[in-house]
Amino acid sequence: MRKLVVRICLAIGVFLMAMNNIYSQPGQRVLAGRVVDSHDEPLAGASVYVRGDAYNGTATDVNGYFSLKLPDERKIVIEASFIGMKQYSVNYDGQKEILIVMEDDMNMMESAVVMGKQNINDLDIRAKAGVINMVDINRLQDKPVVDLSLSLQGSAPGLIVTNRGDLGTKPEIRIRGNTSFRKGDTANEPLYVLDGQVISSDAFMTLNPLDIADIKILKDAVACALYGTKAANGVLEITSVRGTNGRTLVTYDFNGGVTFRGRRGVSMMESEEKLELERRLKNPEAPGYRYSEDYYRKYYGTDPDLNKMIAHGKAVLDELKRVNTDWFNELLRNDFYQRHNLSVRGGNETTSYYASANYNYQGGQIPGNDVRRFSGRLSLDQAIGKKGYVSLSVSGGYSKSNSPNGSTYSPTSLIYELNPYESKTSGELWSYPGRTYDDLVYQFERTSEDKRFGATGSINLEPLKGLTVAAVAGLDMVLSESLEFTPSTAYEEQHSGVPSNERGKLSKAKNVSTNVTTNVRVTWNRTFDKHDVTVGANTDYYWDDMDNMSITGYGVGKLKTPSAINQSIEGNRKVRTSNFNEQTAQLGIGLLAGYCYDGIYDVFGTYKADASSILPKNKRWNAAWAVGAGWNIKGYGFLEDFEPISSLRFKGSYGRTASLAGVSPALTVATFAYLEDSYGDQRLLELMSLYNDKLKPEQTISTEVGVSLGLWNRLDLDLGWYDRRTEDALLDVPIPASNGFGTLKRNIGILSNSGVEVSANGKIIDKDEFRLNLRVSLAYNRNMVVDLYDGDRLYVSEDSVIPDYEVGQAYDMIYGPVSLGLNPVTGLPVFKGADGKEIQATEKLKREDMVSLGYGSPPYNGTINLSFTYKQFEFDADFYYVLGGIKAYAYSYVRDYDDANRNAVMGQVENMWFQKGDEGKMYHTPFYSSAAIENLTRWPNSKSVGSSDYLRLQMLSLRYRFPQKFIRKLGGIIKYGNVALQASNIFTLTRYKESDPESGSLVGVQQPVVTMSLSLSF
Amino acid sequence: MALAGCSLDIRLEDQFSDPYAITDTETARELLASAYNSLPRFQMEFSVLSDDFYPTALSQKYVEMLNLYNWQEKAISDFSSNVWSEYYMVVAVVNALLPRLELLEAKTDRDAVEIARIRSEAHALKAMCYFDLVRLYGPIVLKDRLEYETLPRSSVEECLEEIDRLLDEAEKVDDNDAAVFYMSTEAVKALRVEFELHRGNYDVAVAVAQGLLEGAESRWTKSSFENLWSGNESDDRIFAPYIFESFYTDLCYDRTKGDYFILSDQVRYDEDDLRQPWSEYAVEMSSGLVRALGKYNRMYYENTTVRYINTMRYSGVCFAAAEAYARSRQYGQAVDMVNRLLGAYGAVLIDESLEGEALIEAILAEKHKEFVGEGVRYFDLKRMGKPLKRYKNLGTSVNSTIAADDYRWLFPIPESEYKYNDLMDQNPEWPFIKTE
Repeated sequence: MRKLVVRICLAIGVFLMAMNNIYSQPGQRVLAGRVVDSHDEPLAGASVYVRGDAYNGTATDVNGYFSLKLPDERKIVIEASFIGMKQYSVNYDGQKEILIVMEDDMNMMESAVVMGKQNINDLDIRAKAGVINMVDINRLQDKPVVDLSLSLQGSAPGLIVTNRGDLGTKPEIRIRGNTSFRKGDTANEPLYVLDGQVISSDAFMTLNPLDIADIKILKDAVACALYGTKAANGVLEITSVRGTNGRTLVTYDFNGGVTFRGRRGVSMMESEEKLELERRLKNPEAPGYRYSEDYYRKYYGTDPDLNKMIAHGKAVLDELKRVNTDWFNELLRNDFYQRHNLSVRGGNETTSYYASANYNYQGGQIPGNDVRRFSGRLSLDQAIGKKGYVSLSVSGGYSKSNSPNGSTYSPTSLIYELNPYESKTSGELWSYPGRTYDDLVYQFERTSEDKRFGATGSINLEPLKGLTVAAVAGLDMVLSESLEFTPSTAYEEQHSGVPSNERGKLSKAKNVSTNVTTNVRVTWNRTFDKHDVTVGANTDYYWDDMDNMSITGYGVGKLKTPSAINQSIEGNRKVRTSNFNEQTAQLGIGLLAGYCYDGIYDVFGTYKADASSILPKNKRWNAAWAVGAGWNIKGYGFLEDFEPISSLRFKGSYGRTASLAGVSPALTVATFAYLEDSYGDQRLLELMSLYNDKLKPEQTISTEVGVSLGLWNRLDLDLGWYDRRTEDALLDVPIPASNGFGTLKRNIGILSNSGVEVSANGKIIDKDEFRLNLRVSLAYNRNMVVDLYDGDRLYVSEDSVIPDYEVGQAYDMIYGPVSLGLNPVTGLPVFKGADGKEIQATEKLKREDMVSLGYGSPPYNGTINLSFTYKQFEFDADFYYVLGGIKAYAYSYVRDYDDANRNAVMGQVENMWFQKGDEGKMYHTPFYSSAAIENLTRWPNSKSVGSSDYLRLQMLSLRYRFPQKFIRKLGGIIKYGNVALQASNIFTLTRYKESDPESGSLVGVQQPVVTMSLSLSF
Repeated sequence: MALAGCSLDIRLEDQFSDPYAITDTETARELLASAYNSLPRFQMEFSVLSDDFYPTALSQKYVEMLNLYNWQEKAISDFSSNVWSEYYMVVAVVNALLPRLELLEAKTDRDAVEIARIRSEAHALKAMCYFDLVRLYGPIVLKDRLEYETLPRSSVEECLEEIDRLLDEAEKVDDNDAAVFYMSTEAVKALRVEFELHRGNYDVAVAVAQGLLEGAESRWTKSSFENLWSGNESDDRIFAPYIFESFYTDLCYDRTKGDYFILSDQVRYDEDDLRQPWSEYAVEMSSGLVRALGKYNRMYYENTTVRYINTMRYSGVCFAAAEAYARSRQYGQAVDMVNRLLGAYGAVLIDESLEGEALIEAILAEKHKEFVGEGVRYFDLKRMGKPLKRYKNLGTSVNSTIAADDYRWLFPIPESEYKYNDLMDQNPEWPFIKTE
């Protein structure tokens, strides 16, 4: 407390400013200020009010600022409250501005009565030993990125978000790597919990960042264990913004700007070079050869009109050289970004509310690709006497994304295919014989919509001192709809050979995913002298339902509706419907106990038993347990006054969790499902897979140790080491084909993810008007196959030469031979064999000749966050970097004889081997025998991979806050306001030669967005 | 507590797990239908391997198929991998069905009859798969259970005995009014004829065939032959799996440009042969008018939906019986048998004086005309043991000749089997690369 007083006094001093007389009228006293936490981070939504006058209050804006009108009384006490913080109060002594620094409250239940907390698993006791990272939500809100999950990239060490495609595609989100040998989201995705309610990852994508008060990343066993077997991959806990105790605050935010084309990954040829390449590739399908002198001399060498022909050819080529279309500029576009957000917050001591509405639009790079979203949210908290409170939240959202890129058709890839001498109006294209430009665009469109609805109710009661009974129940639904449409005018349809009444394809799918959560928790906490004891128990029930229906039909012509499907069509264009429904439930019982001695030593343990409907009765129950301990060295009396060390704490934890991610009933017991097709007059009941009645859930074992150190209250260091082992890891492994099925899901071995996470946060400059903050973080993750139960190596495909999993090796290693460069005689690469001998491209490579070329998923990533404040100006910049990984180049833009008619990478003429004696070339000969194909295409080699390291300026924000002086001139309607220039993904520095080191694809780059924003509070 | 209603025994809406899956004759029949539906459909590939076709200028555009035509080791290996796994898929479904069928309780007499029929058909399907596998691979794996096993190959004799036993089981039930896409008693008998011919039990083959072919001439009419190549019923069909998807669309490169392969000169029809219009199809290609395959290929050109894959026909029984007669030196009966069919079709009859190998060759040449493009010829060629010529573009010259004793006449055990099965060996001369 003594420390707090000192700090407040300091803060008051800092913010004392000369004020104009006109504002000192009696009864019109106004107090302006800012509320921050002990780390100087602003607290958004904190209540600030005058004691005894609940209606005379306000809430801080997103940056912690507030202004409060004061009554004309002699003795005024200013109070501030914020969830999880100790109540703050100070006597008002006439100052104009104030800095309120709030302290964490370890026993939150005592203070927060009205400020509802719906996630009853969010117990502070677990935070002592567990590893929980808070996402800096303000920075998240500053990023002009329509997709919440993508904007999470770089927000916490160990949380890895990777973009996978064009705008609107769900990114890959992992906490500390893949938990399973199985790749893909179902087995490795973290659990998302919004206000105590489990939501799907699709629902998370549609949330409005401005409605979020905080996001916690739960990483280790102690932090996650309260969620039981659902949490083996980590948890993202999202807490929504709630009402305040104070005067109503209406805030409007606008953000509008431009989206750009992004990085030009590969420069393509201009006409002159392209035609020369074609001449050398000698494919008459390309004009550069077809009209060349070489061609005429070869095929019409004795023709009397030869010279005439050559002259004609030259004229044609000259004509082509005059055209130079830049398809990157032609096909991609700049578009718009905008966001409108309106919110109302308020309440009094017993009731508080929050309501918001949001609209967001982002246009993608390729015409036809965009995302728009509407969302709304309403929450209410009501005190029940002095014994507790009930909370209610209702939210809904609608998001729609469009894309012209389909599974078989991608107009974005045309950038790398169309020739520079072709144009949108040049008629039949050389690159696509028989087609014009119009036959390549508007061939396909896909629209997906997500409609989300969620409602959560909770009650928190404290019937006896120290005893808390809390319950939460909620429902979250996402209705995802998609429509895929190929019009009858599309080239493929025109040339499909089917009669015109069967042309035009349409698929419509609806998928409803429903998550129901109920959780009841009893916690008892008592402090005896220096002993602080907590025990608790809970029981929870989760129910998930996936319900999918889809229809695919033909003959729709140009109409984009299922009602236009021609239902008279028989055969393989017959209308088809499909249905998928899967319901799963999980019932759990949990116990927890925590003990803390004198604020120095603490231990925490939790055990949870979960029964899942997925598994047969006899193996239904699985356990998740964890223990953790903390040692707060700063808690010793002798260190209390030792200034250099402002905090020092060690912690460690160990836990074991069973995981059922990606396990379905069909894997453990014979399960049959109906196929869409029929056999004669019969339906088809199909055996879904070869079941494995010995299947066990994967076991995740996490060990964690960490230390956090604060120096001079200016530098905070966090260091953590973890090891997460997955035993009985599941994988579809190949089995002899005579079993009728190619694979069987089996428990095959042990894998581990271990790593180190470091972050440092320093206040470089901490002056009155001048503050500079720098935060640097680095996360390292290494995955390894620890054991395989059947031998040391596992090949998942019969034609693998290199084991896909090998004991002692990383499982995302990219293997291939070492290339010694091109053989100047053959023009084909020469590889270095295991025995040191040279291996020609036409010879067979063996396992021993392959070396590990590098990691497929980069082991290092981190961020650099910079914040700079000067007077009313705030400047923030976030850099994100990824290191240590490689990606194979597709080289799809390097042309040989067969695809000479498509555009090629700039410099190919110079860098390709064409004839004996060509030395130092990069690309192998375009003329090679089929014997070399395997070595050229099946494996990357040391020369065909590149480092996927990159550094991206992810976010840039320059904000100007309107000074109170200026605001008052506006007549007092506006309470706060600011304007900002905000931008995301401005540039990416990389050595990677192809377009995007992140997605590794030529399409789907995170595009730069630059916006202006305006925020006004009334 | 509110949780009392929270049950964990959730029966999924559209997935059915034991013991709630195969609960009555309807569901058993539906599971059997999925076995029928997964019957391999490699009619075109086997035709390409035989002397049914010549390549065309377009064959280059379908390199995999051209490689298969040329019997390239890699192409046959790839094809073999599909063949092996698809046949064993059917075996697996039958193995899933049979034990569950035993658990069914027949509540009525009709149920009892239906259960017996399903059992019979399941055995017949398994026999059919094993028979094809043995002919392609020699000794094969005999699977009795639906569970993950690594089994060695059984000897050819053991395999043939197993097929014999399966056919015996299938023959226990009389089911003459089954739909054409199910294995009726007639279909089991037709399979028996083929099987006994293969085993060399010619008298059994002949005896069973005789029963099947009573009054068969009435089945060999113009309309019945035409109906084979349509979605209509045809009297000549014994067993024709139902197909929902498109079929045999891969022979054609483009309806305006022509086919990858056309009919070889081995197949030439007599002027009045009423099979000719439906077996050949004139297509204009860059080289001029060519004789493309009719049948399914014509159906593709003319956008006729294929509903049945003609797998067993009375005409096939006729040729098998004739061959069995000829191989047991009853030349007169053999000639009479074939001429019954040729006469009905208005084709030129075969010479009654033919004997021995010449007669067998003549019978099989006629059979070639009847079944061209249907994947039958490959198996006949194997039984004949003659060298096979591989031609260049439009049959203008011979590219290579596959000797009668070439190792490729026996398919390779695919990697997807032997790499994960230490008890498995490889057929002679085929690559056998074990990765540790």
